[in-house]
Amino acid sequence: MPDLARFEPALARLEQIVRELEEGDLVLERGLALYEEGVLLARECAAILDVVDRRIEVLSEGADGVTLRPLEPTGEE
Amino acid sequence: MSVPPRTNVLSVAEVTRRIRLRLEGDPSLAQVWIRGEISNYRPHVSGHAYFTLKDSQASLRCVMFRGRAVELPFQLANGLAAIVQGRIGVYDRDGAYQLYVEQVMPDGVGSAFLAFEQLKARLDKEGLFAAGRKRRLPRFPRAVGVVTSPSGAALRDILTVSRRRYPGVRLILAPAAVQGESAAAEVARGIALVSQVAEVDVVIVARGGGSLEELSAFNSELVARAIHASPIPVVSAVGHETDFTIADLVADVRAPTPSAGAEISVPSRGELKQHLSSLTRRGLAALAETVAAQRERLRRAMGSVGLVRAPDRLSGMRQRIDQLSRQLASTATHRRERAGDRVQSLIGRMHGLSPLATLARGYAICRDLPSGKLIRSARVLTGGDRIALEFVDGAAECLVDRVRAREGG
Repeated sequence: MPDLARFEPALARLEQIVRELEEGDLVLERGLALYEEGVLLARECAAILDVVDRRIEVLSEGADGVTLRPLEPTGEE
Repeated sequence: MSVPPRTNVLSVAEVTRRIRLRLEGDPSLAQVWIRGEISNYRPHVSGHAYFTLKDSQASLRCVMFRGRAVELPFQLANGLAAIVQGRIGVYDRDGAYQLYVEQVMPDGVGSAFLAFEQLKARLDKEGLFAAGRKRRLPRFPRAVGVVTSPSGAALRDILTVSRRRYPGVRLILAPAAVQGESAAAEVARGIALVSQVAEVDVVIVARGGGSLEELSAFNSELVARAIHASPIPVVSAVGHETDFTIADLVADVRAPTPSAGAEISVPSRGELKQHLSSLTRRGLAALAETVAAQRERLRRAMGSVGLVRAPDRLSGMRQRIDQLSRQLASTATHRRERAGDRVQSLIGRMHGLSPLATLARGYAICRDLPSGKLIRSARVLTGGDRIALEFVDGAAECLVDRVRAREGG
């Protein structure tokens, strides 16, 4: 299960890498290292997007505290 | 000057009592509605409110006891034009008649409207609406909290839009009545609870449209405070065309309808994927440009010199490029064939780069001048010869001073 919290920072880093690559003036070695990092980040982001969870839960408060349970399907669904 | 009679001398209290009975016994003063302007308003710590009701010709002392005063939906204030209902009575100690107030209504505007305006002004002054405290919504919330009625159209709209934008989104509903007496407390509680749930990164507070009265929970101080206290961004999504609710003003983002609230809060999977693949493409194109630029540099530096043996470092790079191209091929967003072809062509071009790497490491190529023949040995040189030294980024023309051949070389 990919770490959903990683998406935003990974995407932000990927955008920064592409900007840096596009600004040019990089020695080849640095360019390759950045590109390699970018590919890994892109793959991670894509994996997160592919997670299908379809979870809809209802929060309820009882004597034993707050609990989450799946939403009962209504007649319309 | 007459002499006081022996009998019939009254105490102050007795006279006051008689006045009181007279006034309080008058049915025309027992239940009066009076129009005037509130002035000299003095709330007391006890909760009772004291003020004077006046018009251009007269003034009337008024007292409103705590039990009545706390029921006022708005704040009394000096200058407020009001219609006041109560009974006239006498306050023995001061020997003063006054109005015992039961109700106060704003004259001209509705009470709910006045309460709304007053609360708005007060919260604004406290800084709850300040633009500086609005938070940005996360681009990719791990879970979205929803505070609304479990049976309302608002929830249905939010579910529909969320599923369209991102089929895998996780929604957590905090059920709350959005209308009626307990609505404000339930909505406020829902915000407080759902904003504490792990992974919930944004909260939508929603209900369908309604009149000012039906939206009263969203104009309440309780809900305003709950939104303000939320540790994560709140989107207000109350369906109404005109006028903002107080919840809209406090929320980090205001959406005009529940559907729009979901639109803003739930990321579009398709858009994010497109963004990712465009980033990948741009990265590859930029890398190709870097390679091309280096290759051009090399070509210029090399002139007609033949290739030397590829150093280890270059084969290391080739390996990395092979590895990258494999990883690229496995990326879901990758346009496999196009990008794969580009990487292959890059690898091909990289074969030509080997001398650059050597030169870059500090070696130079030595040629005879003016013939341009490559010089591989010190022994072929003598003092006074002219030679050229070619570096990775240019060449130097040199005059040989002295030749020192190495022994046994």
